[in-house]
Amino acid sequence: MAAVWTPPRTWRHGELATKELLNTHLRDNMDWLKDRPIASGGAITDISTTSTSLVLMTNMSDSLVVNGDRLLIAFTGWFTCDSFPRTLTMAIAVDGSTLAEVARTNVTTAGNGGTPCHFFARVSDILAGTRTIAIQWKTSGGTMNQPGATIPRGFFALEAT
Amino acid sequence: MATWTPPRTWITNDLGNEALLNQQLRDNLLWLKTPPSVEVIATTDISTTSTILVSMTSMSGLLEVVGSRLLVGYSGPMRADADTRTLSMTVNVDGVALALPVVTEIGTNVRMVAYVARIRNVTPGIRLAAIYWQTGAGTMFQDGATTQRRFFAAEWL
Repeated sequence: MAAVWTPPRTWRHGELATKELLNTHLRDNMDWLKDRPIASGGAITDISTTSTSLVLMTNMSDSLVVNGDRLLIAFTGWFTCDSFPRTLTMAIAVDGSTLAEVARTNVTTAGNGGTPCHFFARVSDILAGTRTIAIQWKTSGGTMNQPGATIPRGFFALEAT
Repeated sequence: MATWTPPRTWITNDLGNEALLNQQLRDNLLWLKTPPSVEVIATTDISTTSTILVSMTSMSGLLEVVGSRLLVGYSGPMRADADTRTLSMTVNVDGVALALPVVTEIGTNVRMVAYVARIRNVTPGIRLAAIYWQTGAGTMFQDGATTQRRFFAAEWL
């Protein structure tokens, strides 16, 4: 079971450090710090989109319990398109709403080798609670492909720093 | 913001009093949960023609370092005035390059650039962490008004 973070206690003079207090404020908080909440996704399937507005990327969504307000989010993937140049735009979404467009790149066709797209970002002002983190994408036109069966795509969101 | 105090070496019959528990447990736990960090998002268009490393506009910030290690990340698309321009980037702390430069080829078609580095040997105290960049020739662009560039530095790992 995932550890639970409890705001560390302010100890008072003469207070007895009982087993309940030590387990909550020392053991459980240490466990939380060692294994922070993380959401992740990976896929080895081929996907594509023709959407010119941001839509969820298949298998790139997961939930975690956020205690603070900061997440480290990373994505890695390889893309091809039907005709050069198409522009790929990617975004981070929280609970279905786009938080920020964080990546943009022109993509070449499979015949020209395709194009990698990676990002690594820290995002703030995430509300505490259970949150669904997702990766969104769109194309400037035509068809954008993520050939996951050849080169898998993956992401993670980690509560940290 | 919580303050880090080196963990105490407890001795026999040591009394875990109010002051010690608050310092050694509460404050150190809070520091570990949220260590010092800085995060910047810029949405302005910038460019450089510099062929030596210079500070990237709005990609720097101050943080108070206790240990010696930082995790630093940059994310944002780039383009150049012509194909086969060379982009170099690095992390500077107080004006000194502390990470090996990353080098990639950028052309007229926009290309995503993501850079993460863990740097060591940072001197404790208030430090200015910054992303530096240069072009091999011509002009390098970061169209932040179209797609933001992001920078963060955090004491971690």
